[in-house]
Amino acid sequence: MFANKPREEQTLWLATALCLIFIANQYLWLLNFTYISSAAIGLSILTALFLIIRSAKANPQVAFVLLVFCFLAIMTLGAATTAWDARSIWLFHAKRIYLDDHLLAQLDNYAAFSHNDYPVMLPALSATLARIVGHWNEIFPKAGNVFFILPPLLVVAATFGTLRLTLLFVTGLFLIVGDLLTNGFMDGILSLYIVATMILLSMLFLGWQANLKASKSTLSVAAMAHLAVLIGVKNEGTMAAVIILFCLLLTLAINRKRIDISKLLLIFTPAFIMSGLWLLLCYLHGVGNDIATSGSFMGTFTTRITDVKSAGLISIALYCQKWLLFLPLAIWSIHVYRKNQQAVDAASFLLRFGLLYSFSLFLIYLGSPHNLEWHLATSAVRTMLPVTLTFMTCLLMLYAENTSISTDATASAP
Amino acid sequence: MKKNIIYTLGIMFLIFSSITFTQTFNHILLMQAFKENSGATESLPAEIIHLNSLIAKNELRKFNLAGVLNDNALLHQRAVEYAYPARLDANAKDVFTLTGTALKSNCRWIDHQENVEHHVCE
Repeated sequence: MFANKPREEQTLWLATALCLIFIANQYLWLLNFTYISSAAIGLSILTALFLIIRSAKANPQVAFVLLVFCFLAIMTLGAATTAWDARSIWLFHAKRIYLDDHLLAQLDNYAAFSHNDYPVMLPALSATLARIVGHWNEIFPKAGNVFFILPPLLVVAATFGTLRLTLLFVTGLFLIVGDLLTNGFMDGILSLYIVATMILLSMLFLGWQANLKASKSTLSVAAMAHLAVLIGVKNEGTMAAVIILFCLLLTLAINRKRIDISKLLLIFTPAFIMSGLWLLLCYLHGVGNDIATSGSFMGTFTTRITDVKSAGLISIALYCQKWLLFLPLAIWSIHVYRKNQQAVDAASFLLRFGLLYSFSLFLIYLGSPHNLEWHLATSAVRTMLPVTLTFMTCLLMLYAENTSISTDATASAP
Repeated sequence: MKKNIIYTLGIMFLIFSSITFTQTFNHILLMQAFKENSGATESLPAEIIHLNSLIAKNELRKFNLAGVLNDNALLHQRAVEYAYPARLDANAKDVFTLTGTALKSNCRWIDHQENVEHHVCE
């Protein structure tokens, strides 16, 4: 039955299956059958990889994505874990899950510097890897992150349609995100899930790539699964999900399209329930977010918003980045490729998200209890990755539409 | 023709952008990627490796840090996460310092490894 489906649909199902395995993995850690569950998760991932390899034979984009995955896995396994957040937050949480044999080990708030309120979906997979291997070390656990890169790349490969566009996307991803994909940080992975979710929502609600051979139900389940992983990557994932929902509703309202409430609920509810459950657990254990609890957020916010120097520092750190070059290019492309309304709507959706997300970051930095210069210097480039990657994707979506129009025109010429 | 140019340029940029990953790549680590405790010397300051050896040797469940080991944010953070499941506890009797750190008179020297010292403070 699976083999009879169109190859785009097969690819989307495989990406969805991997996302569902990641989600199941973290909840299986709550049970005490950790050896059995680790074996089950390992076998499920291997089965999905086997099916992806089979699918790659007939699909050059998927074959390319597999090569990228292998390259990133080798690079990760050949690098020591030295980055600050990788060690002090993500791998420390994974080590605690593995050694304490409990998903919520960090909620005792030991070593508060390690941001114990951060979600545990990725650390849980690293802990599962350690359980499968049988011990802990300072190299392989972070390779769990590379598995998370695979589903969004498969979505890009399935929806962009050509090897050329997938290659351009991966090149842009490498240039913008670089080694943040392999050094144990989460910002690159967060950006990928944001982009993949918005691509799937653009197809479902805005009619982008309407001729792609994938059913609405497949797209809905894929969007739901990617969104659920997105909120499990980092706290910013929940903020991104809220902004995505707002921008989608805004885009539908501006374009006077029907808002399918039931479909929206189906896609967004599981993610928000998961996020709510995690926040509730943190609250019950007395674990708070450093920005929200240390110092007065509103007090700092009101002081800084009237301070030109602070606003200037934040503006420079957030908006004077070389890869924001994609913003004027995307706006120019929307102006040039007006022929296809669906593509313009989808691109506008992404553009609105990028701008609103960056404004949200601006507001968070205004209220940050940390030393502003230090906070910006250590995080502004990373936190803006979803914005720059969204603008790049926006540009590629319009380019994809333009090339498909050119190809159609050439094909239909006498 | 245009398609080939885009492919060639794309591949060239892809190779160029991949260089960033190779800067931290070490083929010896790749060979040891799944060995127990591998990658520690490449990932951590030497003091933390010595500290952990002393904690493991004495099978401590709790420890405390003093001097530079406690005040330096990097050393403090690395000590806490690498020594886990041994936990940092301000009330622990086993205190670790770098050589030359002055401690209170109720502390006695127990052991050392390189420049990391183990004291017991009653």
